[in-house]
Amino acid sequence: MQGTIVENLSGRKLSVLVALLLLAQVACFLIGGLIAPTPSSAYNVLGTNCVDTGNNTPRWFYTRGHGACRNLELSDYKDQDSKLEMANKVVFVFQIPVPRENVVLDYSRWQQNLIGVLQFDVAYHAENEMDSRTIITIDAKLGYRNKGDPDDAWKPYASALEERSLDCVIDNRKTDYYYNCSIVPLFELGSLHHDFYLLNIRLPVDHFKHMNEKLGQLENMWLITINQNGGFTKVWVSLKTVFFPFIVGIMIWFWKRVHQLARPPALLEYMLIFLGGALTLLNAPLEYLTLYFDMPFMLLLGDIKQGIFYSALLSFWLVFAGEHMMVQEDNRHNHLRVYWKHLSAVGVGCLSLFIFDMCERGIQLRNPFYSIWVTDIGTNLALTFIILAGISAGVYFLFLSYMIWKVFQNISAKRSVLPGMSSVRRLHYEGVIYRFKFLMLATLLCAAMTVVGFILGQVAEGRWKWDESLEIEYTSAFFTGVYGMWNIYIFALLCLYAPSHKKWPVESESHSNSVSEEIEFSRLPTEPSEISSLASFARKAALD
Amino acid sequence: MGLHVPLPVLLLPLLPLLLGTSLGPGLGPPPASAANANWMYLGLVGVPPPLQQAAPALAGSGDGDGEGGLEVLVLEDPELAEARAVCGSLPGLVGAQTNVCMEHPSAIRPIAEGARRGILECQFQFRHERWNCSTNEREQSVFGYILERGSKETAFIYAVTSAGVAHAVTQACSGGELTDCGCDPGRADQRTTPQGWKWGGCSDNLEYGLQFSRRFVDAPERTKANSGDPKARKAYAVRARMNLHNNEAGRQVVSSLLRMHCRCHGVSGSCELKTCWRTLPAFSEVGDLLKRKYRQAVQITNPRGRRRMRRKSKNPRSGGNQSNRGGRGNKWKRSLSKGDLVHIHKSPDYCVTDPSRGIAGTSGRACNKTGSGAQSCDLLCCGRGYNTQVVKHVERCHCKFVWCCYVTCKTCETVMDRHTCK
Repeated sequence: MQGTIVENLSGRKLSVLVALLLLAQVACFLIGGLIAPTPSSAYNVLGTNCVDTGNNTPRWFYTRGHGACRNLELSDYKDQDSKLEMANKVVFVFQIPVPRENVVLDYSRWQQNLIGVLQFDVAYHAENEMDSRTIITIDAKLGYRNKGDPDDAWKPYASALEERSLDCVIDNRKTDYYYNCSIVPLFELGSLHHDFYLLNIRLPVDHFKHMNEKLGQLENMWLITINQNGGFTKVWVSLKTVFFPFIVGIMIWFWKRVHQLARPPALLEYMLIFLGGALTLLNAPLEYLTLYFDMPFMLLLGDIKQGIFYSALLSFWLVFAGEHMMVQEDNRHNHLRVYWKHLSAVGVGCLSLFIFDMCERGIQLRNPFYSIWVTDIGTNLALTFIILAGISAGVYFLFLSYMIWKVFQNISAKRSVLPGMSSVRRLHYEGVIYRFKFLMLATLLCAAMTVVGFILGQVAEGRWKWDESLEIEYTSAFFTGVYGMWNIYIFALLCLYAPSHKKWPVESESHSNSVSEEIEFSRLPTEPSEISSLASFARKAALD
Repeated sequence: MGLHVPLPVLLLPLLPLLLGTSLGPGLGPPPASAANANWMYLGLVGVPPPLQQAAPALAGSGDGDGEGGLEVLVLEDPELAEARAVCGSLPGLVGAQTNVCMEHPSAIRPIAEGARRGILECQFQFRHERWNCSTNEREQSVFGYILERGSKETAFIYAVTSAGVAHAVTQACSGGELTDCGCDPGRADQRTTPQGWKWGGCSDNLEYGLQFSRRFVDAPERTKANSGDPKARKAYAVRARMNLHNNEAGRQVVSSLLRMHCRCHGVSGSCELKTCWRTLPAFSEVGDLLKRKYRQAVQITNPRGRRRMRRKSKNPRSGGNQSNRGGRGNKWKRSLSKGDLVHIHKSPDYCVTDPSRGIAGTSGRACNKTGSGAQSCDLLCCGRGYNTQVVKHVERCHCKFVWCCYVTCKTCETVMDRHTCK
């Protein structure tokens, strides 16, 4: 007889292993909570208003360093008539990062990515009420500079003329109150390769194209920059670096074990190795490369890696439930084809998310200012893909719940006849049931912890305003905890569901023992001695 | 309580002590006023550009006096000299404030801007009231007697200027105008400077703005009264506590009006990862809320030997119709909250001109004949009646804006009655 390690492991050994894994889990959580800072931080940068004395000159405007421009108070111009061309001369300048404590800060490549969001302070004037939705045209230019470059050596990174819609409402219609305007996503950089960045923004007015005519009394323009924290990246990458060899090691061990068997690997074993491969892809610490190379595709790559991992995990659960169905079906069960209906739900979901991601982050590789959400068609398209993914997720969970429900039904049916079986067969069935229940328990626990952690995180996010001196950095702890958890989960799966060879010496014994049964079940097709136990028992199950 | 002793008299002997603590130059007593010079004066006159400032200071011809040691210091350290050039001859600062200025010379401009914002907002909020927050440009105490009085108006001025400084400093930090804003003033572990920034980021600029306002604006109240007279010392302490409370209340209002915004940027832009930030309110919102607090200002008393302030048990002004121990009875038991404005004395009579106290009176003020609020002629003119003139009013109307700087308006002429108080 051969099964997997989990059913042959003694209770003591199993509990030691589980305890070790739990310890690793706690460690992951604490590393995130105590060592790592928050995953990302946001900075409000107030735009400096510079004046372009020429006509739309290509030069860069910057606020610090030699040759910097001076701030112009827009309100000084408020009451002067016929300053029409002024609007086309004002350049909003954001030179980031902003210095602190008299130190000129520079971005580190550890900070990985940068998101820019604009916010407008538009003052209310009864004579100049803004519509609740205004289309604004933004002429944005992003440049960069590195340490050691002269102050004016800004090099272009990207530029675009973008339209965005600005939703502004005001509850208290009083002069000089600000509208409550929606935030305007501006750009997303997948790599933070350079030291300093400079954003020049114009809001050109063109009466023929009705460009920016409806914009109200703009007092300030704010840029909110969000970047990943270097400390978090370091902790995250170290975590990956630690997990990577472990998972690769256990995969090699697992595959060796499978190949030591005389039979070809079973479907579940393929699935496990696929899952391990997806996780290895996720674990590969590619972030080290960003320290040396400009890799703007990291955001997209990260999304794709996550997508592959999720699809592998979801497919694995489906196949696992299917393989433990314990119903009569011939050898077909060993093929992925059987599950095409179920797997297509995963496929469609992941594919639609992939297409959506390509449309958003893929195009952002060409133009960092691009966003699919700004046009109505784009929004509808994006929503279509997301809804499609949502539907597939729903269908998937229906399938999965149905399969699990069936497995449980079969289990309870088997339970009732178990006492009447011969001891060997009873052991086998108990093994199948045990394996299934063990994984169910572990999976449910992991999923529940992820969900609970996520909800707690959302609640804590709301409390962020009042509670700043929290000792545990919850968001980071959640991320490292969940990441560690799925790594440990898959490590445990590869470890515990590998074919056990401890029992090989017993095998002959078991064969001799089951002679009596073979007589009983003479109609059974003679099976190769080493089929995946589950498949063989499934067949036997059908006969009961 | 014998607090009606004019405070200026009490404080005058302290002036040399206050001013001479660390830096003498430029901090002579104000020339023409009995009231104390005040930092808010910066809001009226602004900060002269440092280069122009440096020249007269070196020449010893600034408006202050006692610049004796300056040239020696100039030789010591050019950076310090520059700071001294900016801070040395600023009017109205006490020693501790000059120290803050020396540490952060570039912060003085946002401070002046904050004071200006506060004063303008005060004038806007009180434009229809008997006291219209008028300032006196020639006086370094800006508000003169009103600031010394300890009334509701004093409370408002303190709160609004303190809020103004917090607001302006925060903005200056965000704009990069102020380069020495703290990276992480809130946290206990000092992971500041660039490496710290790269590790875990910096805190909100607002924290710095509030702390800076606390350091700078509160500084005059934190100087100990060294006068020998215990009664005077106590009066000074009570007033200092009132001012501190109101300063804090102003800052409290700023932080209570912050708006929070969030952005999701997890996998594929999902809300798995969400980053939030806070944005400053328009200063007029701060002014409005403070005005509301002004109307509900609490008169306090400081019983002997108690460190905590209390509501005064008899409050004839605001409590006149509420103190009937009826439904509102428990309102008195409510303890003083951090955001309340507090005052010690009743407001003076703003109706009559009293030059010795710097009260302009309301005669000559425009009023509203038909209205019923504070602007109505009945209230504003204090029953003295009003004059009516027929004036042709020319104003811009039906304006059309294009953002930034373009306005087209029609000119509208209206003939209207203008009422002014007698």
